[in-house]
Amino acid sequence: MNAFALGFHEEERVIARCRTYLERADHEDCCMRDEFVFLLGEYEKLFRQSMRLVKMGDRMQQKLATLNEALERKQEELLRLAATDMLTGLANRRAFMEAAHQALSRASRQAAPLSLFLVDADHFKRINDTYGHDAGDLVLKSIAVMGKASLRAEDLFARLGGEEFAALLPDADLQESVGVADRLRSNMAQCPVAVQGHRIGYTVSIGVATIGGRVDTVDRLIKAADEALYMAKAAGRNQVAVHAP
Amino acid sequence: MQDLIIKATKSSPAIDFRVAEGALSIRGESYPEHAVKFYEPVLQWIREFLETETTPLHLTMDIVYFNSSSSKILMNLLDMLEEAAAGGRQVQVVWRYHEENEIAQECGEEFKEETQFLRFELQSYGDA
Repeated sequence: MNAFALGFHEEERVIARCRTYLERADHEDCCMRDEFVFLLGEYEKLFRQSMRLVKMGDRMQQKLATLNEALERKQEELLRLAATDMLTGLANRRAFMEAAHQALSRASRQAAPLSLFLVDADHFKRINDTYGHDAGDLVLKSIAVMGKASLRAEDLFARLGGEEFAALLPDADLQESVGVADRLRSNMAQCPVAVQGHRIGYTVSIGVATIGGRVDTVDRLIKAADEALYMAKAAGRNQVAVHAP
Repeated sequence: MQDLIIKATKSSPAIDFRVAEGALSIRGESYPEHAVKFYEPVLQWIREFLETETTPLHLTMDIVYFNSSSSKILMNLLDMLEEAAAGGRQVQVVWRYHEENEIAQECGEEFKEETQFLRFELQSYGDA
């Protein structure tokens, strides 16, 4: 054990001085010599033990720090999982709502546009009933991949639940969003999903809305997009409808 | 003299001292809020055992994590046993640690180096 490396210089110095005195005492025939030898021995032992205890304490501290890091990583992972849709890996409804609230306050502060559209797979139940749930899941995954690919980095594509998806487009006005939505709709209609030798074609209906006028909260924005989506469905599906501001 | 049994808590180890067999064990984690207070009856029991009984003493320690105050007390405990062993008492200490717990092993080695007369043995174990 190296006392200097552990920062116990003072203790080493006291021991060295004691030894010097003891040597001198040998010549001068000191009466307390035995007690002195005993106390020095005790001190040396306690000092050695102290160094061990400090070393052990340090190791335990290291262990705690390591465990703490692992815990933090786990916590981050859990937070990520809590915000993720397990099937598609997209943001889930919770994460989407949080992002929408943040985007809305930023848009209000900067007087910037903010649009949102809801994507719903047409006759999705039929796909499930005809080809099975695994095929249905593949369609949902395909929508996720294509939806994400059609958006900009600052946009967010999420799965709200079932066959319903949503896109959040900061700084995009209604016209731009309709353009993105229609490209997405058209790409999906042209890209069937291959499942065990079958090519399953599917379409989506999309409802677009943007902030402005009475549409000034996240709930109202989603409700507006939902109304537009309803119109798209009512008008025969595989189309994009817009909520009139 | 009576056996000393203390149940483990989240921050203090299980104490299981049997007079008849001279078998003592300390197992668990040791970071009690008041380490001195927690170990007081433990040290007192050992002191009394060494004074009143003549049977050999066998102590098993399996302490996964301990704080600094606990380590100081464990060192004092070993000093007490070491003194008894130096006086001719048969004393054996087994330091048990999980084979993957490198730190527990190192700490066992540190404690072992402080002993001379008593038998100090390091013993690793796996998951089984």
